[in-house]
Amino acid sequence: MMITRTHLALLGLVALTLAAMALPFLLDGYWLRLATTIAMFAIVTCGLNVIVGFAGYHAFGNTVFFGCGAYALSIAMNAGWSFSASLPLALLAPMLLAGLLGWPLLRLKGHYFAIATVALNLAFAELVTQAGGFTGGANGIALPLSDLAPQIAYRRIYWMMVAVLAVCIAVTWWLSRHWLGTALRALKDNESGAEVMGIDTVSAKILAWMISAAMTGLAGGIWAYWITFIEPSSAFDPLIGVKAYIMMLIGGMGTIAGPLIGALLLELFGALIWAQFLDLHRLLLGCLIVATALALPGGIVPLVRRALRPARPAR
Amino acid sequence: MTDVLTIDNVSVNFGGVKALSDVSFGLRPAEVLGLIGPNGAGKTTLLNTISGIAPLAGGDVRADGVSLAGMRPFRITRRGIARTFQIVRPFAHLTVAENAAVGATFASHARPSREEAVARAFEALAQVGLTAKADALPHQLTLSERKRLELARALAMKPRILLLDEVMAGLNLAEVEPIIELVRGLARSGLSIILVEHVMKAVMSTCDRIVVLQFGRKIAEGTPEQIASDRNVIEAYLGQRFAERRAREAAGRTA
Ligand SMILES: Nc1ncnc2c1ncn2[C@@H]1O[C@H](COP(=O)(O)OP(=O)(O)OP(=O)(O)O)[C@@H](O)[C@H]1O
Ligand SMILES: [Mg+2]
Repeated sequence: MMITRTHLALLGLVALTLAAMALPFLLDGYWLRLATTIAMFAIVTCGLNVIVGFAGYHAFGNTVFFGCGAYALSIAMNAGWSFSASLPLALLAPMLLAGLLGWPLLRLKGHYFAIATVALNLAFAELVTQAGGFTGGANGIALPLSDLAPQIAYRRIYWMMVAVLAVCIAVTWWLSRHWLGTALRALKDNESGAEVMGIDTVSAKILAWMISAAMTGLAGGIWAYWITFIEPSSAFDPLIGVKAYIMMLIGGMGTIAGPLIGALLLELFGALIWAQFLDLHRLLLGCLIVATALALPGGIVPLVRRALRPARPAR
Repeated sequence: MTDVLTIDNVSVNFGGVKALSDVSFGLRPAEVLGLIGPNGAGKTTLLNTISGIAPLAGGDVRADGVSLAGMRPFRITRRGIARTFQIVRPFAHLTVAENAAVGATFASHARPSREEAVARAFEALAQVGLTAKADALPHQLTLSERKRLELARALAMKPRILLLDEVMAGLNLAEVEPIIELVRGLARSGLSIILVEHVMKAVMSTCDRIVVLQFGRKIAEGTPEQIASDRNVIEAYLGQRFAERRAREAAGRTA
């Protein structure tokens, strides 16, 4: 029974991915751009979900890994590396950063950790700006242009985003069934209690943040290749993290489908409101977010789950 | 017989408060050692020191001759030392069975398979009579059930040493009986247990030996009979005048 459910879930994910992969043949430039943005934010939200939704550590400044991935890829490509050789760096560099900084930072609790990550993001933006040279400093970096026709290049970028997103969702699903996921959920509820029950909480948190950083960094790397020009203020834009946070809250923290659902809804609504009310869209979006938070404190996924299985206790 | 756990001149401070001062005693294999004393005597603090969540200001705690001082709590647990908390702290978002499975999964260096962990969790739930509540969330349990879940989580760890902090507090007599039985059975099967308890009937009938703490110091150690007639203990619990009267009465009888 377990196996059939596992197979069904995997089959569903593959079918969804294939369907999403077919979209570029139906969409024009504007909608393809929107679909790529949705996939990108879904990846960033998946990354946030691992550290916030599972481990309960509010990494407000997780954007640092997005920027780190974007810069790792851009610097490598400008040094003459191919895109496919550079992309792994967009995963490895942020992961390494999370591993190194997780040791001191993840000892901080609650707001202190959240604020420390915000400071980290700001510090990195400043560091890249001041460094100049190969980082381009405040002027930013332009990436080597691809030889492909733009339409084909954009399709490929969309496909890459979707493929990475599918892997991120699969990793989240794996995590929810793996001992690491159990350890994270336990320490989210009660960290010292988890430690006393034999959980190496420090290692579990660092691993979670490394996974989170890898996902976020990949999104940043592909994004840099997509827009072909990055600067500190766009790659380390704190709004990326804020948006991902809202998407995670709308979709459902600590759930598997939540990040995708949240990204889909927020971006689609955003596009709709943007088109109708150019001046008021931020205000309307803000109201929508507050309304969602009040009406659905746990997000959409737990709500749907409760509706489907009213008798079972919700998790 | 060598002790499985040695408390060696342990002192613990909280700021200026001396919560424990030079406490020493040993836990023998397969015994139930009662740890009693008035409120604030330092019983919970002593368990916290053993499990590594309250730092030592002086002295040492050793398990099988290995010092636990400065060791991270999860490493101490993986040496086979499990505990319950006086203020129960289940993982609120995990079911009763999942709570017990956490103990089974992480309490040893060789992590068991998922199936084995679940099997061990259910075994522990059966031991405390909670099988029927396996799918419930902790907030859906009664106080008695929550206390037993706390015990099940510790049992699922398959420890060699078990530290129980007031697992019977707040339960009625009918609920206490099976737990006393369980604790005795565990000791017979080879577990060494420290039992912190205010329920005197439970302490006297369950423990092989008793250590008494007052204001962070050990004031007595002995068998239940010795403790029941110890002047310092009676004084600590019932007041000095009562103890003096008991002493005069005893002197009168022997004279
Ligand atoms: N984390 C802490 N910070 C400061 N003081 C503490 C802390 N934990 C315990 N204490 C103090 O240490 C002393 C011993 O407390 P402890 O909880 O060990 O007593 P106890 O014997 O378990 O009491 P009870 O029977 O009420 O559970 C008390 O004076 C208490 O206020
Ligand atoms: Mg206590």
